[in-house]
Amino acid sequence: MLKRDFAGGLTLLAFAGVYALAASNLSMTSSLGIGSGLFPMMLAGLLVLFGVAMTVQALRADPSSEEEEHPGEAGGPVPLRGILLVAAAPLIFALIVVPLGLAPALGVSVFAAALANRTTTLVGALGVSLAMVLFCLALFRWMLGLPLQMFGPLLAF
Amino acid sequence: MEILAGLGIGFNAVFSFENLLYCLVGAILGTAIGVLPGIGATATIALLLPITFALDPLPALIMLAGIYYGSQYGGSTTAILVRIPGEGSSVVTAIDGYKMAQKGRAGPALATAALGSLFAGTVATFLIALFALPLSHLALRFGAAEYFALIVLGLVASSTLAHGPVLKSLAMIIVGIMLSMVGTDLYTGSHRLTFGYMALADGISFVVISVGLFGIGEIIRNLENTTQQDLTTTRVKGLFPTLRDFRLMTPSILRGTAIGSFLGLLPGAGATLSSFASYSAEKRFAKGPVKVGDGAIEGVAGPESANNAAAQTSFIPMLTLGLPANPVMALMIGALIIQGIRPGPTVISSNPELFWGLVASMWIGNIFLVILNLPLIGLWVRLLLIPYRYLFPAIIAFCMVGVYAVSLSTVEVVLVSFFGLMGYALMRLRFEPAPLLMGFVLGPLLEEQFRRALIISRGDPLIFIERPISAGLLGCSLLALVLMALPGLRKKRNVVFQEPESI
Repeated sequence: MLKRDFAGGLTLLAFAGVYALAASNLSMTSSLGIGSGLFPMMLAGLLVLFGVAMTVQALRADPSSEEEEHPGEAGGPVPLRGILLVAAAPLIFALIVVPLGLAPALGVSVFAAALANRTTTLVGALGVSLAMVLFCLALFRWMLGLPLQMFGPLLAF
Repeated sequence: MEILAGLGIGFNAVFSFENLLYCLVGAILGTAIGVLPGIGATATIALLLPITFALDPLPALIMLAGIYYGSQYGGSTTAILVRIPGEGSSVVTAIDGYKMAQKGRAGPALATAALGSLFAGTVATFLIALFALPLSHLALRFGAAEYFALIVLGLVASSTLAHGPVLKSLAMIIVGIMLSMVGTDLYTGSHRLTFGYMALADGISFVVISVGLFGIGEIIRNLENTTQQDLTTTRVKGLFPTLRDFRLMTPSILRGTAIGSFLGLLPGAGATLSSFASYSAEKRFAKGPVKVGDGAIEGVAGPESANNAAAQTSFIPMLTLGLPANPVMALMIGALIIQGIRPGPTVISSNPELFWGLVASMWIGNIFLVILNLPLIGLWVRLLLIPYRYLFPAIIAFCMVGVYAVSLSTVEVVLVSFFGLMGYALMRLRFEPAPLLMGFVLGPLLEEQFRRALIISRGDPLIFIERPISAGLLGCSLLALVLMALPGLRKKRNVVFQEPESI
């Protein structure tokens, strides 16, 4: 059995299930022929087929073939700190950008993202975030002239 | 004659200060990201999509195209000098190119790569001009059923020709189409799959998906390997190839150009596969004194011509049929849609200066690239000294500001984070994100044609097999799938993709 493909197949099945549930209240027919729900339902059905095929294939497969397929490329540990900080950066940005403006939002979120790498020092992270604030300011605000507020209502005096 | 007139329009359109500037910017950016191994053309173009929003359609397209073929040049530079292929398409160049560099012939290897690419690019540009018109005329006669069948064939072909297991990439295409259904239904106006969120009523933005999957997702994956690579750069001297080199590389360049031009047209194949195919061809046909694999100039000339030719001919299906041959072309379609242009057979007649301008810009861009690359090689290699730990926060900053600048919606920024995590999870499970993007771009078109065909036939699904062209195209898709299920062919396909990886 191939563990990764087994998990992959189950993931597909789960996604198809949730999707079909969300699409189940859509009408299958309309005055114009087929309704808005038919195509999504067909896709979910197709994905169930693929999911089942993959799960069955993974159960039958010889586990030693996994290494053969990708030699020297073991799964490796999940970079938990990296995932958390990188994924948190856009969330921080989204929280800050409306009340405080683009500059603080960018500064704080890039600072957090930079720390995703273990070898980055605090000073290094601070440097990168300051540089990015200035660079994005120059590019988006001055060169491209996009209507972005650098400092939000909470910081405007 | 029509072609000459068209090229006239194109060169007229390109020779403005603004367009030439963006062509140059694209070429420079493309070379830079081609040199850097952590970030590829797909991710860069995804990141720059928001910026193109502020530009006119032609400069936007010129710049993005420049990034794409520019990255092919940059990728080969580092492959030859330090044996780090910056792009998948220059993996085979690293074999002979690096060995030539070790023998002190880095200069001729680099020059060969650049000249081969220039020649291939020129030929491919003419092919685009030549084939685009007849193809678009043909496509204009397609009805809804035929168009549906054509998209199905394109998607199936892209999964059988691309890297990785067919079952997985087909599943990813389906997931992509499913995600594209979220939002307001065009026919009935009702909201679908929005879970009651008004923010999802307009659907998931293309920028958000591509930035999330290719930008953030890639970064998390790159954080996995913390090894720093050390560089031992060879000094480049004596750039120009000798007369004997020219005699050896000419047939290889011709072969590579032919192989690349053809494979670039096929969905999913593109630059990487064509460089592999050209390398196997050189192994068989090259007659030089040095064996291919031991530092032969043919092993550089062939694949480098092939990948550049393919990078350019892959524009043909995108521009004439609105079908992307690879994820980069899917992003181009996204860029056009942001500009309010729906790519398809009508673009050539409705926006002639856009189409011909792009074709003309490719040729100019190739010349820019040769000028940029040969004298400045030392500078480009220096780029490799930038540590990734400073590069990735910058990429993230770009992702966030870019997405926010286009939509001014914080929900979209949050979704970037979500799709980044999803992209990483998919990679862990060894699902490629590229087919998902193809499905996402083509999904709405696929459904529209499907429903239109059923309206025309009053709900009779037999319309897809009663019309000969549609039946033929669907038959080809089925055949492709059946062939892939045969064990013998599957093994052969794996060999094609495995061989160059095991260097």
